[in-house]
Amino acid sequence: MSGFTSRAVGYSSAATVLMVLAFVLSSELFLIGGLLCMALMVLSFSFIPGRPKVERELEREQCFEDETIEVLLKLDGRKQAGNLEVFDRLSPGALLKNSSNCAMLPPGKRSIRYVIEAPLRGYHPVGPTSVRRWDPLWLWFSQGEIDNKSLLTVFPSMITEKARVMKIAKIKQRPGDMKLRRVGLGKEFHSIRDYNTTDPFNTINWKASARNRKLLVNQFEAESVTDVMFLLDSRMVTRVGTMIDNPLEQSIRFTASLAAGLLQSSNRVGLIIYGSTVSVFRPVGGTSNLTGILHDLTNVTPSGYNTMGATVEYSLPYLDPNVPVVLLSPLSEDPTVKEAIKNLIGRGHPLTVVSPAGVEYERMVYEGKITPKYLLKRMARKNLIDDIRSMGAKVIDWTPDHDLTWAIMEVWK
Amino acid sequence: MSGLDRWERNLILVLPVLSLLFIGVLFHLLFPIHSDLGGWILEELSSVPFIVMVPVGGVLGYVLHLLFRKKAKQTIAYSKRMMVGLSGWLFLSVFISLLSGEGDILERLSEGVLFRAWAVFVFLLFSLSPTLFGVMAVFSRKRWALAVSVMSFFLLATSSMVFSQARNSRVLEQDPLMSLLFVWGMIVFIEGVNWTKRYIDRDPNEFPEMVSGREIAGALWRRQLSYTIIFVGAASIFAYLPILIVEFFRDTLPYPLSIYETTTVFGKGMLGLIILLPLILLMLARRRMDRKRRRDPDTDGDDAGPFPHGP
Amino acid sequence: MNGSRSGRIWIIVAISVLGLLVVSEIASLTLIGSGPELSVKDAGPGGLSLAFGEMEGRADVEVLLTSPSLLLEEDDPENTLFISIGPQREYTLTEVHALKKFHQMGGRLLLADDTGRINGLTNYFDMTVVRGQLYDEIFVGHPDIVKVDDVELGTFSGFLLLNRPSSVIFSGGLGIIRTSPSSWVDRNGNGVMDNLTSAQGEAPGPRYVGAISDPDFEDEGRGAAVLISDPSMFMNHMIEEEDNMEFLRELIDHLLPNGGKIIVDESVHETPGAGSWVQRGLSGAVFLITDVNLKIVMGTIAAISVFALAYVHEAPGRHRHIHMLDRTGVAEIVDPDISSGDIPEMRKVLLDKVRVANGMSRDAFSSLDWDRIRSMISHDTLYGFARYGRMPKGSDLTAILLEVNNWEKR
Repeated sequence: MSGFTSRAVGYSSAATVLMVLAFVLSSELFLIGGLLCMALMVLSFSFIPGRPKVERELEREQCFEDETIEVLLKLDGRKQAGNLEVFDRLSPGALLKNSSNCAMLPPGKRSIRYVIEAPLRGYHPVGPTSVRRWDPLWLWFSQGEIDNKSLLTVFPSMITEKARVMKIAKIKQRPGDMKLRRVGLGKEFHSIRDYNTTDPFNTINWKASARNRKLLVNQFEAESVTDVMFLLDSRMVTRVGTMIDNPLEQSIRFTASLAAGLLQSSNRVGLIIYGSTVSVFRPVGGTSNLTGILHDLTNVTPSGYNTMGATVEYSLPYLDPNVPVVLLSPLSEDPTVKEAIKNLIGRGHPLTVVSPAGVEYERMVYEGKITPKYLLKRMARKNLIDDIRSMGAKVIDWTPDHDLTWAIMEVWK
Repeated sequence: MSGLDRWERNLILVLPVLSLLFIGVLFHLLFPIHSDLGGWILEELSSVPFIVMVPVGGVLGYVLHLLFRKKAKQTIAYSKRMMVGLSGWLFLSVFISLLSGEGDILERLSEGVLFRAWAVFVFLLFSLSPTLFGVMAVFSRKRWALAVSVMSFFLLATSSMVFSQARNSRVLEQDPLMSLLFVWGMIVFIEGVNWTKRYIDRDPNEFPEMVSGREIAGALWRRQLSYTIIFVGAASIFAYLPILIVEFFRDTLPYPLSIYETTTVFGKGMLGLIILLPLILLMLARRRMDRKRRRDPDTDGDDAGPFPHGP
Repeated sequence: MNGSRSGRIWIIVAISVLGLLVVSEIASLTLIGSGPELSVKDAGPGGLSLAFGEMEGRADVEVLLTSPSLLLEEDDPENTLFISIGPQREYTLTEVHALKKFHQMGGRLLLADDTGRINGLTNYFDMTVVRGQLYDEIFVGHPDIVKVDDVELGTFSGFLLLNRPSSVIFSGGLGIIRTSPSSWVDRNGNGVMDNLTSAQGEAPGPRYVGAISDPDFEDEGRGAAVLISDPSMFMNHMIEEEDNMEFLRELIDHLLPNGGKIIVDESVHETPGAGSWVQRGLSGAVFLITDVNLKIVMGTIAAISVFALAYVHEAPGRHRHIHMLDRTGVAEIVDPDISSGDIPEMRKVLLDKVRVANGMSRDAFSSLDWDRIRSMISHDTLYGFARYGRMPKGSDLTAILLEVNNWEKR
C-alpha cells in the first residue's frame, strides 16, 4: 500500500498543470517549473529504502496489572537513501508509559525501546510491526506489515500480603489449615516418643536422644485442608463502569488475591464462572496451580445473560458437601439471585457474597450524579442485600470508594 | 530537547521568509508587465510596480496572522462575509453599468465606475495575495495559506502572460535562468514552511522521533536538507538541459535538419520529456524490482524481510 | 464500494469519449493522405532540396514540422521569412490567425500554391489563387511549360519557366509576375479556350502568376506576403531551368534585405513512412495547445483535475496508539429519570423496604392484610402509593421516590 502526502500531490499537480500551461502560454518559466517538479517526483519515486528485518524482545511475557514492560525493537537493514517509519502496534488495552512505539529513523541497524503499561488483565498482542518506507524528501511512502506478533499475558492484580496475614488470625469458620491436634504427617511438631524400628531415620531427634541416652523420634501434627469455591458472575451487566474499574474486574482481582492466599495456606480453590456459558474448574491445590487459576481468570470475558439460579442448579453436582462458597456478583438484573442463594445455603454451603455495587460504578460514569433512577436502583439493591443477609449469608456491599484490601479484610471479619 | 541545534532552528525559521522575499523580487523582474495590467484597469495603477506589493502584502499578512491567532472564528466569518460582499458588489456593479452606460456591453462595463472600483479592489487583492498568504503561512504554519500563496503566484503569472499575448500579440519573454531561480525560491519556500511545521512545531505525539530515547530530529532534518539539495539540483539539470541544448549546443550537435520547433517552448518541452524518459524508465525498473522482492523475498538476501503482506 | 467503482467507470468512460473526440478532430485536421510532394527533404525531381540548399546559402533555415501556430512565439518577425510551397492541406483557422499575427508584427511570407488550398490565408492579404491551369502561346516544348519574361522584382531580369501554373488575382498589392496577352486560364479544365464572354471566363489576356501584398513594406516597416501560383517552379527538375533559381534568390533578398531567418513549412507536406505518424502526433499536440477552443478545454480539464485530486486526496494518517481504556459501560441507569413505567418497581421497593425493616420474610409479609401494612408504613401518601400506585394531586414521581428513600420504620 502506498500513501502520498499533500506535498506529493501538490508537486505532481504542479508538474501537470505547469506543463500544460507552459505549452498553452508558451512560457519558459512554467516549462522549467513543470519539468523540475516532474523530475523531482520521478527521483523521489526511484529512491526508497529496502525492507528491514524487525525483531522484538519483550522484557517478560507475563505480568500483573499496572506493571510496566520494556519492549525492544531491533531493525536490521542496509544504509540507503530514504527513511523508515516504524510503528509497533499495541493492544488497545495497553498504555504507553514512556517513549513511543512509533519512530522515524534512517535505515540501517537501529533499535527502538519503549515501555508499556497494562492496566487491564487479558492477553494483549504486541505487534505486528508496521513499516513505512519513505522517500528521502518525505513525499510518499510504501507501507507493509511484518508478521511478528508477540503475546503479553497480563494477570489480574493481586494483594497477597493481606491474605497471609489473614491466615495467622484464627477466627471460626475460616478456611485454611485445620490443625486437628492429633498426630499425623503434617509439618508442625506435636511431641517426642521412643524410637521403634519402623520409624524413618530423619525423624530421630538427636538432641533429645543424647540427653536421654536413648533413641527418640519427633511426632508431627496431622493437617487437613479446605476447598473453597468461587462463583464468579461474568455476565454482560458486570461490565458497567469503566474498562478498568467495574464489578467484573474488581471481582476477578478479589478472586485472584484470595485464591493466592488460600493456595499458599495449602487450601484448594475451585472456580465456577458463568456468563454466556458456565465453566466449572474443580478445586486444585498448591501454589503451582495459581498460574492456571490466574490464566482462567485472565481469560474471562463479560458476556451473556445466564442467571445465577440456572448456574447453581448446573453446578451443584460439582460442589462437595459443605464447601464454602464465595459468590462474586453485582446481583443486578437477575431475578433468580435469592433462590440461588437459598439453594446454596439450604445445601449447607457457608456462603460469602462479595457484591461490587454495579449501580455505584455506573453512577461514576455519569460523574457521580444522583438521579432518580439511581436512587430507585440503590434502594432495590439495599433491600436485596438485606434479604440475603437475613438468609444467613455474609454480604459485603463493595462500593467503588473501597479498595481491594478493604474487601478482603471484610471477608475475614 | 528538540534535537535541533540553534543554528539549524534559526535557519529553518528564516528560510521561508527569505525565500518569499526572493521570489517576490524575482516575480517583479520576470513580470514587469504586471503594472501594465494594473494600468489597463486603472491608469494610476500603472505606476505601482509589483515590488511595492511585496512588503505591503507581508505586513497585511502578519496583521491577519495576529487576528487569526486571537480570533480565528471571527476572522473566518468576516472573510466569508467579505467574499459574499465582493460577489454582490460585482453583480450590482455589472447590473448598474449595463443599465446606465452607453455603447455595447464591453464599453458599458469598462466605463462603469462601480465595476472599475470592483476590478481595482480585486486586482489589488490578487497582487497582495502571494506575500499576504505567504507570510500567514510562515507564521501560522497553515497548509491552506501556503497553497493559496503558491497558487496566487501562478495565477498572477498566468494573468500577466495572457494579458501580454492578448494586448501585444506577443509571448512574454522569460529569462530561463531567472525562471530557474524563481522555481528554486518557490521550492525553498514550500519546503521551508514544511520544515518549520515538521521539525519545530511538531507535536511529539503526532511525530515522534524517539530512537533509543534520543531525539534525532536534527539528524533527520539534515538528511532531508541534503537530499532536497541533491534532488532539486539533479531535477534542475533535467529541467534546464533542453534550454541549454537549444540555446548553446544546437549549432554544434548533429541535426539532419534544423527544426524550428526546438526553438519554441513546445519543442523544448518535448525535448525535456525525452530527456526525462530514461529517468522514468529507471524509476519504473526500480519499482518493479522492489515489488518483485516483495513477492519473492528469498531471491534477495540482503534486504528481504519477512513481509508476507508487504506493499 | 460499488458506488465508487461505478463512479470510476463513468469517469473513465467520460475521459475516453472526450479523448476520442479530441483525437478525431486532430486526425481530421492533420490528414493529408496524398503522398509526399514538394518536400525539402525530397531530392527527387518533385522535391525541393535544391531550392532548400539555396535558401541555406542565403540565411539560417529552419524547418517547421508541426504547425505554423508556433509562429506566435517568434521574437524577431521582421527578419523572418515564412515559406510555404505547394501545401497539401488547408491551413486551420488557428494557423491562419497565427500567420496573420506574424505578418502584422512585420513577418514576411512567401506562399506558392496552384490548387487554391492557400486561399484561406491569402484572402487576408486580398490575394486569391484562381483555379484553373494557365496557358500561354509562349511555351517551351509543351503547353504546360509556360515561359514568362515580365517579372517585376527588384533587380531581376530574366525568364521564368512555369509548370502548369495557375493565376493570381489581387487588390491593393502589386503583381510581380505577369504573363503575355495571349495567356488564358482554363477555368473548366477541358483544355480548350471557350467561355470567352467574361473576365471570369477564359478570354485571353495578361494574367498574374505572382503578387506581393505590401510593395512598400520596407519603407513602412510592415510585413509582406508574396503569392506565386506555381509551386512547381521551385521543384528540383524546374528550379535550374532558365532563371528560376535566380528568381528565388532575388525573392529571398527582397524579402530579407538584412538577412535573417527562413522558416520552411513542412507541416503541410506528408512525411513518408512511419515518420508520418510521429509528425501527425506532434502536430496534434500542437493543435491541442494552440487552438483557442482546445486551449480552454485543456486548461479547464487540467485545473478541474487538480482541484478534484486535491479534494479527494486524503493525507495519510499518522500512526497513533489508541487505547480503549476510557470506554464505559452502562446498564441500569441509562435513562436517569423515572417514569410511570417504574411505578411497579417503586411500589415493590417500598414494600420490600417495609418488610425488611420489620424483619419479615416474603411469605410472611404477603400474608398480611393492608390495614396491617398501613400501620407499618405509617404514611398515608406512601400507603396510597404502595397499595394503589396513586399519587396525591400536585405531587410527582420524584417526590414520591424521595419519600420512599427517606422512609424509616417508626
